[in-house]
Amino acid sequence: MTSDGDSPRRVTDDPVEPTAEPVERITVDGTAVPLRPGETLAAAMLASGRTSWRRTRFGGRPRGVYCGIGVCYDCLVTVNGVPGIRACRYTARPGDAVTTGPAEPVLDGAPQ
Amino acid sequence: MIPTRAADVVVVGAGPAGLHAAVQAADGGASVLLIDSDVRPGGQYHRQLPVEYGAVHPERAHHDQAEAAELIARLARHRRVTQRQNVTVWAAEPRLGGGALLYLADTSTGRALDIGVIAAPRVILATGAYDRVVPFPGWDLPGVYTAGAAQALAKGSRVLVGQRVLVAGTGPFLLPVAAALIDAGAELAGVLEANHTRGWLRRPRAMALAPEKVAEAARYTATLTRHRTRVRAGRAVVAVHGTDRIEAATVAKLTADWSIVPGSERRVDVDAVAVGYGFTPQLDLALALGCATGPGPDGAPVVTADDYQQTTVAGVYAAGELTGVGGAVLSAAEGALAGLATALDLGTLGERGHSARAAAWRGVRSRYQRFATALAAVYPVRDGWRGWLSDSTLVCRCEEVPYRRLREAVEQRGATGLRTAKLTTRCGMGMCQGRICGANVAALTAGLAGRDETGVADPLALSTRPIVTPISLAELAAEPEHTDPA
Repeated sequence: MTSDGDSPRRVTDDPVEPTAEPVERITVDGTAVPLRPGETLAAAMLASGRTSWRRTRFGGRPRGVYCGIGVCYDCLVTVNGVPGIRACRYTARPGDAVTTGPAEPVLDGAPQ
Repeated sequence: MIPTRAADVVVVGAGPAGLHAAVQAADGGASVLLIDSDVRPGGQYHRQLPVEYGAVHPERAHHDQAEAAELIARLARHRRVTQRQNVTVWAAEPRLGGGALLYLADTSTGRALDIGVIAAPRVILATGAYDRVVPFPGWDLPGVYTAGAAQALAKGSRVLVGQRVLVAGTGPFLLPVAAALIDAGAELAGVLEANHTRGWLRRPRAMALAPEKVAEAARYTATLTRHRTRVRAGRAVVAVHGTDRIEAATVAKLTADWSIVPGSERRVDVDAVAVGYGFTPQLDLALALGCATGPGPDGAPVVTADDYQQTTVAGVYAAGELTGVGGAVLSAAEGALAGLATALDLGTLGERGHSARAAAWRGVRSRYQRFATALAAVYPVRDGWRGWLSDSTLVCRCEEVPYRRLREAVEQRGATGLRTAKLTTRCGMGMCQGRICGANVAALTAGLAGRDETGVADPLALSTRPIVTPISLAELAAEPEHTDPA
């Protein structure tokens, strides 16, 4: 395994013995992030130490993975220019360019 | 878009119910199209590792994988079965003569598929369920996950949600989640069962109904014991703390109705919590098709199905968690019976053959329906959680509606029904379309209005929408034609 594929979030000495290591790459806002082929974008981003990658439009609250199965729409990202992709339901491919940030503009003066 | 007739029977969902429905309908002589929104079949319960991982021992991530893998392999070889993975049904309408028209899109991107609209003379809905959660201060901080998310990432991706994790909520599902996290190498800061119960394994009648589940639960308990962890009852995570992510959680003892025992709060440093308060059936497609619902084992609405698993809409069947949450064994039996019923209905399977094949599944279904009722009685969601909220706690994550705004809408603006509360506060009108907050907003609104209600009395107040899953505007602009050559 390459050293930058090591992550405390990945299962170590895994009993299922995966033969594929996280040696591929995607970019997240221009930064290289290791990818194990077949894993979801959410898995790769969590393994890279990220816990949130979006801000809500009223309160600017950080959001990342919540439900993990495509129900809550918290984990939205833009992939290769396509917005509104659920990171938990998207199988990442080597070379994917992910951009994060507010999916919608932050509004001022929203009623709280 | 002109609908194409895809097959005699279209099964929506490839979890335990959908897999069994597809194989029984096909064995009964029907042609079957099995569509599923995930990349791999199996659903949440039989979640498979990505094939690209090249795992030498995939069965070690899920002990009950062998039987499911065999069923999946059999379907892949079946000459009357076609499978499409990564497909979402984003709209559905009843079809003249029975069944449904289904509008399909690619799950990953939300783009319409080449096959577009399909005409399904018989449909089996096996859309499953997702985690029920209740809100508490800080529950929308990153690092708070549903129990299902923690398990899916551990089992399906071999990624941990945190290094030091609290598992909390209610119900038997907390055990496999805790065991999966331990097996994957996480340190558990605790497993908290909110109800004051020592678990269904100490109830002989429940055990007698579900011998298949006794061994499974015992295995999870053994994993916990090996790591000196045990389930602590009558406790919950009632708040989490942090600025941009979770840093700690407040754990408290609960009274029988889940009010916080004053002075029992204790702060625990964790980097993740996994929370699950049972499951909410995924009813959207059934409601879009006009299927009637009624209260399920826990009072929450479920699709009404007859002895053949047929709904109140002709040619539309339902199987698995959406007819009442009861786990994988019940789902499998209901799926098998739905599949057999479609073959009988189509005439590809005779009465005698149907009776012979259905008998054993009917027995399993009956036994596990009683088990589901017993479980719902042991692990209810008690009303006391409403007292955990502060004014600023979000009740709706998508529209960022704080509890105070919902309370004011009900108490000061007369929004005492679920529909008016939704329209006044925007609760349930965001991206998730009320899937996460719906049951909670219903309970809070009823409580604030002084009504004693369990479940969602009016599920259509949350789910009436022509589009069941968000898709891109380009798909709507395609203006499908509603002709049906089938």
